[in-house]
Amino acid sequence: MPKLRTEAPAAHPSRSSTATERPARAAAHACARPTIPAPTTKTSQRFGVATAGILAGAGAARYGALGLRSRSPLVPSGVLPYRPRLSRTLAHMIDTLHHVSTPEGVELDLRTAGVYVRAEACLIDVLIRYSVLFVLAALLGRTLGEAGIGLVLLLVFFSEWLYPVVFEVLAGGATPGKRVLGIVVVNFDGTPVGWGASLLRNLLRFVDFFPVAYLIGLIAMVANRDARRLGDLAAGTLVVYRDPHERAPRLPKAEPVLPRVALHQHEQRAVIEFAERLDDLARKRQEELAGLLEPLTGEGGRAGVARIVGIATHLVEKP
Amino acid sequence: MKYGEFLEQSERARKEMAHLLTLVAKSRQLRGEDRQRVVRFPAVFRRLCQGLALAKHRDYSTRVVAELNRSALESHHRMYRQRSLVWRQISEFVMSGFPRAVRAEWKLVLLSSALMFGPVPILAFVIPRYPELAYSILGADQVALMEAMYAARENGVEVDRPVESDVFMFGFYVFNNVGVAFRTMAGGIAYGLGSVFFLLFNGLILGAVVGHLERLGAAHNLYQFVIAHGSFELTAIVISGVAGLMLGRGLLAPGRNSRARALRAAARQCVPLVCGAALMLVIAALFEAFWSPRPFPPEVKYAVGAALWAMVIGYLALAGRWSRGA
Repeated sequence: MPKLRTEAPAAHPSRSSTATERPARAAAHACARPTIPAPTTKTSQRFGVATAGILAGAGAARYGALGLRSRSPLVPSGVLPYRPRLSRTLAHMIDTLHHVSTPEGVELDLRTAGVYVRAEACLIDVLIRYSVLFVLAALLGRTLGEAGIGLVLLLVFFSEWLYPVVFEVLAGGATPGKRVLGIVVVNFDGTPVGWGASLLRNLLRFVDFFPVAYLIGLIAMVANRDARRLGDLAAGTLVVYRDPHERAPRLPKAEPVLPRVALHQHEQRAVIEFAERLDDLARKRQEELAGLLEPLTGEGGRAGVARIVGIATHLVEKP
Repeated sequence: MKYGEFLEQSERARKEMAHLLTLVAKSRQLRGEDRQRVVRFPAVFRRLCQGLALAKHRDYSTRVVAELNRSALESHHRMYRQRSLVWRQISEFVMSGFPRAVRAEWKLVLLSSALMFGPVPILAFVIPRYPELAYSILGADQVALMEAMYAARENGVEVDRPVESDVFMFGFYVFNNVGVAFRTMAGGIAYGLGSVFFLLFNGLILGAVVGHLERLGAAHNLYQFVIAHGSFELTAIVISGVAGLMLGRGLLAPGRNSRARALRAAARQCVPLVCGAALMLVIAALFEAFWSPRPFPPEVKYAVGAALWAMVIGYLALAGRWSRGA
């Protein structure tokens, strides 16, 4: 049974009403009941779906399907809209984020790289390795004769076993292939890999490759949460995405508008996030999403979009 | 503090951190004011972490959380960077770390040696009585090759091989032997079976060659050739076998840990053994390519070989026994 959304949001240091806000909120409450036709299950249901939709759109783009999880004991888990719909274990199973708790008492999120992107990186590395070897073999073989072939064999040995180690330790955790695709190797606790761990994971590549084309490694990767092959399991390492720099969020300029109902925390977030992502959305899509919130804004189309941006401005701007 | 204020503050912290990160990256060359500024790194890092926790707790928008997460992760990376390899560590490793690590696993050293060397005397005894066994282990091609190398020539060595082919052989030995050592170790993750297989396999080949050449009365050629580099090479393969068996033991007998945890612990412990074995194999390849094929009189070869064996065993048994630390 979805909750009614007309009561005041949970008291909260960031969004709790200040002395000056309070009357405004009270007014919002007062007018909330009459204006929304029957403060109803139906409306709030629709509402929940809408915010969930907007949030999921934002979240899925950056953070995997269920990136938005509150782990803090201070936030009741029920405030996130879609949390109750998935059982805990299911959510856990499809969440691809890897969480690291640091000594500073904060939880960092790492996005683990899956089988496909890692295979692609591996392929790029193989191409690089073999083309360099091919050129050097032609060069050394021609100029130095038999001794040149000996040197080539040394190079083959190096490229087969130590090429990834050298790059992973000295070039910030990424072989050239991984760098191209924006993934890096890190320790399980998110720290950079050292010589020992990198050597281990790359020596065990032999077993992961066995019998052909990383079959064992593939089985291991699909069998555990973080797509780790045997080498990663033994060395305690992980391959993750290097997050791109993001420009600071900026709201479009608008006059603040009071929402007709007091918004819950996750609803506030959906509204703010919608405003922040406005530039990334096509006009039609903006209107479509804003249309979902018509019960809140009382308007559809462009006016609805403007109204949501106004509400976001109200929520964000300094008192 | 409202959302907008928070954004401004966290943006400031992130900018400062970005600047600090570039400074810290070259902290050795810093002078004066910059040097003072770097000291603020931990404080700014904690502030970022606090900001991230706050943003998550208050359910701020994805972009804000993501950007704080990225920034905190970057500084976390810098904060907990492991010390890089330096020469002191290398010399410490060679002088005491490696032999100590080998001695700590003396039981597995015995097991690994038994797997590798066990088949040799048995086959050396059996094959002269059942010669066809050599063919079933080695195959006809290999037998013919062995005969060509050791039995056909008077002294078992090539005279005046050009230096180019020495370099070629060096490259080949490193490529082949270090590869064998790495595979022997890696195979250990299959509950030790892979290591057992590679050790036994090498032992069987060695035993078959010895047995076959004994039967032909040409084994002394082989001994002259291998005695010098064998000291490093065979021991190194045994040690890489030990590393593999450690992995296997972690999985088979995890004790009070989970198997995954026991495997990780075992893997961490076996790294020095693998590195040491690889180093020994490079030394062995030097001897095998540049010394072993030289046509010196047998007495010299045996003497040098015996000295090298004594050195390797003495090194592994004694080095670092009395030094403190590490």
